[in-house]
Amino acid sequence: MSAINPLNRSMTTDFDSRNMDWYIDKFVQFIVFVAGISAIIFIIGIFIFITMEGFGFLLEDFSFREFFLSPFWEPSDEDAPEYGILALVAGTASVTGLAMVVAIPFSLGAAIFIGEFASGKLREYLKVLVELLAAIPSVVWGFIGLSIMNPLIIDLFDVPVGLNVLNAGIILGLMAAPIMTSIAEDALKAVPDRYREAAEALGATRWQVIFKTVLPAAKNGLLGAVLLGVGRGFGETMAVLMATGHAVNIPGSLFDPVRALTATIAAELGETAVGSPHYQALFTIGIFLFIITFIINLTADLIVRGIRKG
Amino acid sequence: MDKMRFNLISIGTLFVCLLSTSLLVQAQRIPIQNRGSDSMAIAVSAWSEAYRKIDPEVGIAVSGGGSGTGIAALINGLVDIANASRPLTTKERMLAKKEQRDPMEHIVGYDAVAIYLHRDNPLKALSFTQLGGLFGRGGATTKWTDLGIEGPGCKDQKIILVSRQSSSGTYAYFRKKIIGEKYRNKYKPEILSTQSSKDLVELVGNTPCAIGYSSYAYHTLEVKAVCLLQQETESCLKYAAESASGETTYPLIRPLYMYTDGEPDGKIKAYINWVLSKEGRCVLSGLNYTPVQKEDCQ
Repeated sequence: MSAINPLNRSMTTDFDSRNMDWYIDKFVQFIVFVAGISAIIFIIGIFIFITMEGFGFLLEDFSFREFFLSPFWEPSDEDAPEYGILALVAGTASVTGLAMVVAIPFSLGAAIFIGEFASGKLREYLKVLVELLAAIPSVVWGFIGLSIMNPLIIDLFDVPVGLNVLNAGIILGLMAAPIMTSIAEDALKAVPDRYREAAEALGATRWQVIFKTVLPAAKNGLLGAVLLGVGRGFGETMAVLMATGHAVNIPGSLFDPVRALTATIAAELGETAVGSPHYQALFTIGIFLFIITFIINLTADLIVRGIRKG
Repeated sequence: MDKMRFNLISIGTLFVCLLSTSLLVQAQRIPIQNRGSDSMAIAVSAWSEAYRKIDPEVGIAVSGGGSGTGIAALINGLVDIANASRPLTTKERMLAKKEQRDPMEHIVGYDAVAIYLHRDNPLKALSFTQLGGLFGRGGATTKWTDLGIEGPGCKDQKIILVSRQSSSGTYAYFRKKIIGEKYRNKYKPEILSTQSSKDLVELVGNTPCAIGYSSYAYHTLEVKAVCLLQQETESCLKYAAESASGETTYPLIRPLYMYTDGEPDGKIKAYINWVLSKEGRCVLSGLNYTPVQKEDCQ
């Protein structure tokens, strides 16, 4: 590359050191190429790995009816193991659904304030703080759920136990909000200023500008932000493991304990012998989760890409 | 150019230095990997801490995760000692044989399983039959009023059952001892499960409606351990930590095991012998466990 695009410095230095630069350049190019392509290699590798590990279960012990329609999950039973993920799917879906109800108003409000109202230092501070919120480890969130939210929910709502859909949903909502805020703010920023100027020229108030002009123009990006939040919710493990109560249960209300798919894998993988039906069943859950999050993220990406082009 | 070369050299030197120091630190201490039972975690950390003074050359790396996790790690060849609060199952023995390992059992002490209630719960005693009705799948007990009491601060008198995760040795012990054939060895699915004994005690202490089971060593002021009856006709029994294994009458007491791959030798053997010695036994009795033999520890 440096031969085609010579640096000023290389004109004055001797041949040997230019050669050195050339090698370094090639070497760095190679590293960057490997780093770039590694994401693809890893994702394919992971997919092949979990499929291979879970495949034995799909062939032998797997029964479509039991796996998807039975609410009983007790694979550690030596005589009559049960592999039904219906309650786990219901748990993950209810917690993620509630998390979105919590996170959407928060993150949309924060994105509108940061993107449209705040200026100068305040704006920079807010952005840093939102990113800081995203950096809190999920085990800390889980700990907050277990030891702070649990007694609080028991007191406030007068329910028998505070580890439930509500607890995990609020925690997961707060965890998903920062990433959703960043992406939503990007989407708002992508709306050209001339839209706002035109609306203001027509006599629109600040609120009308945002609600009638900016939000409709940014709707694809905002939808993408929500979907990425959903993906985050499906994949989150440690916090939901601690805050849901980890009970195999199809929730009838916000105050019922549940168990998530991811939490089941995290809690049980360590005890399983490699290659046993239990181990393979956990990997089959892994395949299922992988496919769902893949579809969610792909849809989100396509939607976000849609607005960037359009 | 010279500057760049200098940078490369200095970075390289730094790496070599870091690598060699980390190797040196490792060389100073012989590590013993020790994983498994969460019920034993308090004892095992106390042992490993005290053992540092006995043999400073050995560093004992302790981690939890449950008895099942420790045994799986021993079978997979990842640890030197697996801690377990239950014996190996036949399945695990077969698996170990397949992997050409020969787990050798060492009983290092005894641990009582406490049935924990919130400290305000007025319940005094529970029988094994009542416990089965609480935790076994199909068991009819769902409200505190079914047991003849009212839990203060407990909404609808609904009983919140709390259990350990399935890799726990206590989970397996409780299933065998309490749930048994009558409930086809199955827990109620709606039972909450926690990842450690500590989490369980914390949850029960924060939840007026809750009942859970766990090692007696995790007892705090937030919870109380209920008195137990094995047969309905007996008077109920409390656990006294001072008594030795032969003397205690408490019905839910089980041995604590350390498993090694084959006959231990060298530093591992020395460590296990020390755990079984008077000094090791005295560490246990100070922590609400029951040592293998009564000891006068002052």
